[in-house]
Amino acid sequence: MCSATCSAPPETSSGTNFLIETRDLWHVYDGGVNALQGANLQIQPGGFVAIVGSNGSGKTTLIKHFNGLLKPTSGSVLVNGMDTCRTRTSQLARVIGFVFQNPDHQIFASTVLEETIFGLKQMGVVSEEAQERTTRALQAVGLYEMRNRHPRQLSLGQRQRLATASVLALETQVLVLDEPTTGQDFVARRQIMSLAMDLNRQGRTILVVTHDMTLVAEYATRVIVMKAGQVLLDATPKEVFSRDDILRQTGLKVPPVVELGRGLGAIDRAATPLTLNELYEVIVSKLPPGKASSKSLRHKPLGTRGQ
Amino acid sequence: MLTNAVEIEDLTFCYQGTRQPALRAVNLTIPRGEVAMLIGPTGAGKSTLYMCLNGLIPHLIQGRVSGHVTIAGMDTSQHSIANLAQKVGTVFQNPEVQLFSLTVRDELAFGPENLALTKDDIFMRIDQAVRAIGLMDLLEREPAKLSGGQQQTVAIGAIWAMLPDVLIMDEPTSNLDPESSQRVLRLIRKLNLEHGKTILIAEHKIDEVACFADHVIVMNQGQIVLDGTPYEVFSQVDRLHDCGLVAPVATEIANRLQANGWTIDRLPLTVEEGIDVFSDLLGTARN
Repeated sequence: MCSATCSAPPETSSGTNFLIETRDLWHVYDGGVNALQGANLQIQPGGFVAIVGSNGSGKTTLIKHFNGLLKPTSGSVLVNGMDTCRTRTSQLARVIGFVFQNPDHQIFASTVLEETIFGLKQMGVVSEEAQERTTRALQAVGLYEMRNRHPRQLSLGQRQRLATASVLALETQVLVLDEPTTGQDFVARRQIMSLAMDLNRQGRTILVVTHDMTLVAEYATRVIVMKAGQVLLDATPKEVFSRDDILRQTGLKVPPVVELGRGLGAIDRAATPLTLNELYEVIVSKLPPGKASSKSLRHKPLGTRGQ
Repeated sequence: MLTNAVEIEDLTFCYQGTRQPALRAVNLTIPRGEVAMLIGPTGAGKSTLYMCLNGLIPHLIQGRVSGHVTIAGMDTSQHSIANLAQKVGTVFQNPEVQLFSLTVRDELAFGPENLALTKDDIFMRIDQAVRAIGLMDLLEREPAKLSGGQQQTVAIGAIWAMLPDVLIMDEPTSNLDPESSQRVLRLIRKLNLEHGKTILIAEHKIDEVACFADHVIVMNQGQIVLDGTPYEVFSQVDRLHDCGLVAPVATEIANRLQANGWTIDRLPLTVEEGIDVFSDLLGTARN
C-alpha cells in the first residue's frame, strides 16, 4: 500500500534511461524517525554499485524502496521507469532480487533445495526450468552437494550463501546484496564476490550495501555515500577515497591497501592503487632492478598492554 | 592467584551422530588478563571451542568428549552452566539475537536477576556495567531501535553485568561501520586494561585487529595450527594461505617481495610498519 502523501505524477518509461532513480525520496518510520531525507540518485544498468555510510545513515531503508518493500513517505522511486508506488511488489521482484543481511530473515523451507526453488514457483516458472535454474544457483554458491540438508544444519556463512542462491535462481536484472560478506571467512568472501562479478559481466546490475572498504576498492565501479538519509556523493572508488572531507564526515576509512600506498612517497597520490596486486606491481616497478636493500625494522606492536 | 584464565588439555569433541571430530587434541593456555584473537575459516571449530569454554559442551550438547577444560580454575565438566556463566560471558556476533528487553536497563538487569541476586546487588551490577561500558545515555532506550554499534555495546554491557572473568566475543565488529568498529575495539581494550578481564575475540577482519591482540590462535579443521604473538603467527604467510586465510596487507606484500628475492629482515604487520619497510626498500621519504 502506498501512503497518501505518495502522489507523484504518472511516469512513463520513456521519461528516463536509468535503471533505478530516486527523486527527493523521504521515508519516515512510525515513531517519527526520518530515515531518508531527500535522497536523490540515479543508477545506470550494468554497474557494480556499492552503497556505503555509517550505521543508521539510511542504506538499508533506501534499498528496501527498490523492490517496494518500503514505499516513499514523499518523493518517488522509479525502477525501469515504473513508479514503485504504482507497481505491484511481485512485478518489482522480477527486476530486483534482494538478499537480506540476515539470512534467517529469509530462510524458511525445510531443505536447501526447496528454499532455492520457492521463488521460482511463485513466479510460475515450470518445473523443468525451475530445476535447472535451482541447480545452477546452488552450484554457483557451492551448496549443491548439500541440497537435501535442512537449512538449520548449515553454518551462518552457508545460510548466507543459500539466501543468495534462492535469489540468484530468479535471474533478475538487478541483484541487491545487503552486507554479503559479513561473518564470511576469506574463501567464502572471495567466492561470493567473484560470483557477483560473473553476474555483473553477464550484464546484471549489482548493488552492494557494505562497510567493507576493501570490497569497495576491489569490486565497485561506483560508490554511493550516504549520510543522514541523503546521498552525499556518487563517484568512483578512487574519487571517494581521495575525498578526506567526505570520509571524515561519514566515519569511513580508506582500505589498508590505499592507506599503505598513500604513505609511500614514491607513489603519486592520484594513482594510488586500489588492490593488493596493483600495489605490489607499483612497488616492484619502482624498485631499482637487482638491488635488494635491507634495513631492519624495529618491531613495535601497537596493541600490546601497557606495563 | 591463578595465572591462567583458560587451560585446555587434549580436548577432542565429536558431535552426536558424526564421526569426524569437531575438535581434535586441542591444547591451549590463555594467561589471565590477556586479549587473545582466534582466527580460522568457517567450520574450523571456533564455535565448538566456545561451547566447551562456557560449558554448553558437555552439559547441554550431546557428543563424545575427552580431555580437560579449566576456566578460572574450574573444571567445566564439574560445574553447572549456571556457575560457569559467572566466569565466562559470551557476546554473540549479531547483537539482535541476544537483545530482547524493552529498555537497555532491563536488558542489563536480566543476567543478574537470573543469578537471584538481591535488588540492591542487581542495581549495583547495572551501575557497574553502565559506568564501565558508558551506557548512561542509552538506559531508557529500546535496544531494538538502537544503531548496530549501540546494540553491540549494550550486548557487551549485558554480559558485563554478570561480572565474568573471561569474555568471549564472536566477531564483535562484523555488523559495524569502520568508526563504530574502532570504538568497540577501543572499548574491549579498555575493559581489558582497566579491569584485567581476559578476552577471547574471533575475527575475520585481519588488518584491523592484527596488532590488537596479545596472542593470536589459528584454528583449522578442528585443530590449533598456529599459536603465538601477532608477529609469530602473521609472519607465517604460507601457513595462513594453506588454511584459506590471509595475512595483513603489508605482510602479504612484503612476503611476496621476499619470495621474489628482495631482502626484508622483518615482515611488517601494520600499515605503519609497511610504510616504513617499503619506503626503506624504495629509498624514498615517507609521505
